[in-house]
Amino acid sequence: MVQNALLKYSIEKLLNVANPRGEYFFKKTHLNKMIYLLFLRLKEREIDIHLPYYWYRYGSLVDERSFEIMVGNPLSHYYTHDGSTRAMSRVPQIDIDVSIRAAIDEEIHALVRKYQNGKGLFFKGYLQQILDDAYATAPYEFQRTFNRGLLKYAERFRTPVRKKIPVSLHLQENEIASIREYLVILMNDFNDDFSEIFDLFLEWEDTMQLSLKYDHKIALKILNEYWEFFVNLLRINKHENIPRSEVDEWIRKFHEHDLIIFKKNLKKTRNYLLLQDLGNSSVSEEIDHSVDQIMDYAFQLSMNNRLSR
Amino acid sequence: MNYFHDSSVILGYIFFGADRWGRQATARINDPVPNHSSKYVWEECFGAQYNDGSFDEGRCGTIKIKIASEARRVIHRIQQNIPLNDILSEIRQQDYKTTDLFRALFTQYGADPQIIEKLKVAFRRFEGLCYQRYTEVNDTNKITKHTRRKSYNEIFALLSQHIPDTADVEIIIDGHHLATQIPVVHLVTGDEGHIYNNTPHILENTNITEVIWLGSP
Repeated sequence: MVQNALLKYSIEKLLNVANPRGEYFFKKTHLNKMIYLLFLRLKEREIDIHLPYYWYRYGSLVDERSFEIMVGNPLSHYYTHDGSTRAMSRVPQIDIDVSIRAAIDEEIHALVRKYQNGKGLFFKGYLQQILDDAYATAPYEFQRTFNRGLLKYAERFRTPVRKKIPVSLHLQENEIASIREYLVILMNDFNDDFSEIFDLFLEWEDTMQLSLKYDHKIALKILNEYWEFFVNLLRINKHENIPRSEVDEWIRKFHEHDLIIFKKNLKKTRNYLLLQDLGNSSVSEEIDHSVDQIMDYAFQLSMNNRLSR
Repeated sequence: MNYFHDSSVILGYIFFGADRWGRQATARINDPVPNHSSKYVWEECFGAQYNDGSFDEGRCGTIKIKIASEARRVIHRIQQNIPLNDILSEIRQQDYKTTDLFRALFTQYGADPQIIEKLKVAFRRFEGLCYQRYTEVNDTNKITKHTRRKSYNEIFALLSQHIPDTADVEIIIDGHHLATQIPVVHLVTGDEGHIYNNTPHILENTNITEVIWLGSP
């Protein structure tokens, strides 16, 4: 007995319509994002297929563990070894309400058509359009700016073939200015739902500014590190149909692992850049006086007001 | 002669620009007398890493992080064009540790159109210099760090009658332990109330030869 017949029918029908012969142009990423887009379309028609998903590194992501429990087979059942989707030549025989079945079919056809040309073939590069469409529904402006803006912009500085950070990298003034503009937008977009990492964000932002001054390779590296870190809190904040026990596990991992590792790496990188800054920036008497004031304050605090650790 | 430095001296060396003891701590550590301290002092100042991978920052790191974090929040508010007086009210209400510091800095830079850039430079320099000083004392042989395994219960009991903070007593005993191994150990401290004022008790009950207070002329 399938726990979530609507979801099983929806995914199998989607494959049947989009890629009945299991061809290479419709892969697991396409399926993962399209089932999410279908879920949203159906929600607007007040049909809830209870898709278990969360927002993560590359946008919305189906939660494989919950999916398997609901549907009775793993999500990987619908993929082949090369990442293409499995051929689904027949319409699934699942006992669901006729009117709901008709509505699902209608939405699937409309969704698939959106990425096809007049001849019923998917247009070139349609994955980007799917990703953009999925991202347009992202819950936070911050994640949209970061993922579809800044990260996408920074992609161009990676090596063309393997998309690695190049051995040497020197950004042009206008490129640095573009990244700085994104940082300003991110500062304004930062959402209160993430207040527990606001201080870390400000520290990261200032470290980005230093890296744009002294080491552009580091800028690319920490840009990615921040995103990899941020998405661990993002999925905790934005998910649907995931069991509480699994979310609790994410929360535990976030505090006991992700946060510690990110802080440690950021500290190391920042210390390196701060030493570069000491060696390169010229300082006036006025600034030196302020630094002494800050140090005096720090010393007083360390001696008189033992802060809680 | 040898110096045994307690945490106030190490912190004074890290925050060397401090009016109070910063320069005196630097002078003591930089003079040719061999410098010693203990693992206990080090962990109090710079923290420790635990088996599960977590770490605490120690007094130095905790305060540096607190000040730098509050500064970045304040700079962010200035970037949002919030008037300086409003920012001061906010941070007072939110109980920022740096409220008085920012009152002073705003007096200095309040009318300066470059206030954001200057504050950024000053606080980055503060962090950078602290880290540079830390690497000087941690990654070199400038200060020899000793680990003590004996507990010296009797001395602990005697000193605890006069010194209420057990952390201070442990550090004095670290100095004593060193003095059982090498001759002529002077305990250097910036703590007048708990340590320097108890010099007679320390000299009477330990092998420490002298207690030097950073505030001594």
